[in-house]
Amino acid sequence: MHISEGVLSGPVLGAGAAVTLGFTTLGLKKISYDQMVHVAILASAFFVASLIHVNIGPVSVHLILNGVLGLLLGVAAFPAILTALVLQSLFFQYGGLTALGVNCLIMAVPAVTVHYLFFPMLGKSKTMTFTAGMLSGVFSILGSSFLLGGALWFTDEQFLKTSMAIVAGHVPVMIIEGIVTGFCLSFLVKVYPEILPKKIQ
Amino acid sequence: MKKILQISIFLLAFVILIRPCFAHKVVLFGWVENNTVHIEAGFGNNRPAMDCSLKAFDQSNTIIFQGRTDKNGKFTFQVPELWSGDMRLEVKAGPGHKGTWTILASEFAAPEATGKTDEIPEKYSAMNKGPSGVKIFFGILLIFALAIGIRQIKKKKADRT
Repeated sequence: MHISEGVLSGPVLGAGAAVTLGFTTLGLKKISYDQMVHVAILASAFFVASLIHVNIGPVSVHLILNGVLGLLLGVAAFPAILTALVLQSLFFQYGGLTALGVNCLIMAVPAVTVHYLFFPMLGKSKTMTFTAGMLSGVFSILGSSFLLGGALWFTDEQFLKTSMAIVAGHVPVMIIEGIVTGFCLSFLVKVYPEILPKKIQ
Repeated sequence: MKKILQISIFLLAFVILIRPCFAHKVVLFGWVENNTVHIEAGFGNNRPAMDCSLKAFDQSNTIIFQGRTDKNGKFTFQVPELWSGDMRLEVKAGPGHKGTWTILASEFAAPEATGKTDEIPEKYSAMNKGPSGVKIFFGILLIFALAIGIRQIKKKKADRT
């Protein structure tokens, strides 16, 4: 999901960086004083998630966890994801530094979208919380796959063909991410309900 | 505080589960041996980049050779006659994933270029290693330090108003 250095064109990189900067500023303003620890915990989870590999037959996939961040943080997921991506790029050489803006957009936009779609389901019951988590996991990966295809299309590749290939390649990730996100959320709500925004605790 | 500790243990379990790998980093390495260019492409931890498009460019960015990696992520071709400049290699390992490597002109002139050497693949093995635990913990530490810094700034602002 992390686009490498030298793949995207200048205008795509520039536009991605500008939009990410705008949303990150907005996200930082929206984070409350009390929420900072939660942002750090979730950003850390995102930072290490991509190192966890699951083998399904010949395919090896890794977690992303942008759904959990988006669902719990809303637009504040932007600074959390950007920080984790900067560190992944510097420490593990994942993606390129110049592609940070686009990579952040690819992962954060679907994350924020699932917040608006599934947030009302949180905390209503155990089943609803698990379902919200599962759907967030699936849809955040699906959205990220399409955005990745879009970013490549704006550069030079065929959008539909590329997007379909990316979505097909990420189906195992969607399933695993959905299950993991569902269990993560159920666990967090059980042991640490304070992580949920105050209005639904 | 106890709950923060529980979450930290949960996060630690994540770290313990990690099997180091390069999910996104395409490792490409090329060297010259017996007048042949040897190329290996992978994702780290001996995970080869199979059936990936590979191109070799000269200094004027003209393609001089192209093909696809085999099931072991390897590819070889003869050094073109009277070759003297740098050679840039590029592998595309799926959408948005690209790796590059340059074989310097001096490497074509080195004695190993016409002989056999075991040193260069060892260099590739070093590149193939996964991220260290120290880096992972340092990364998490940085995230928390940054969060505490922003928290303090926000607190100061709140105190002023």
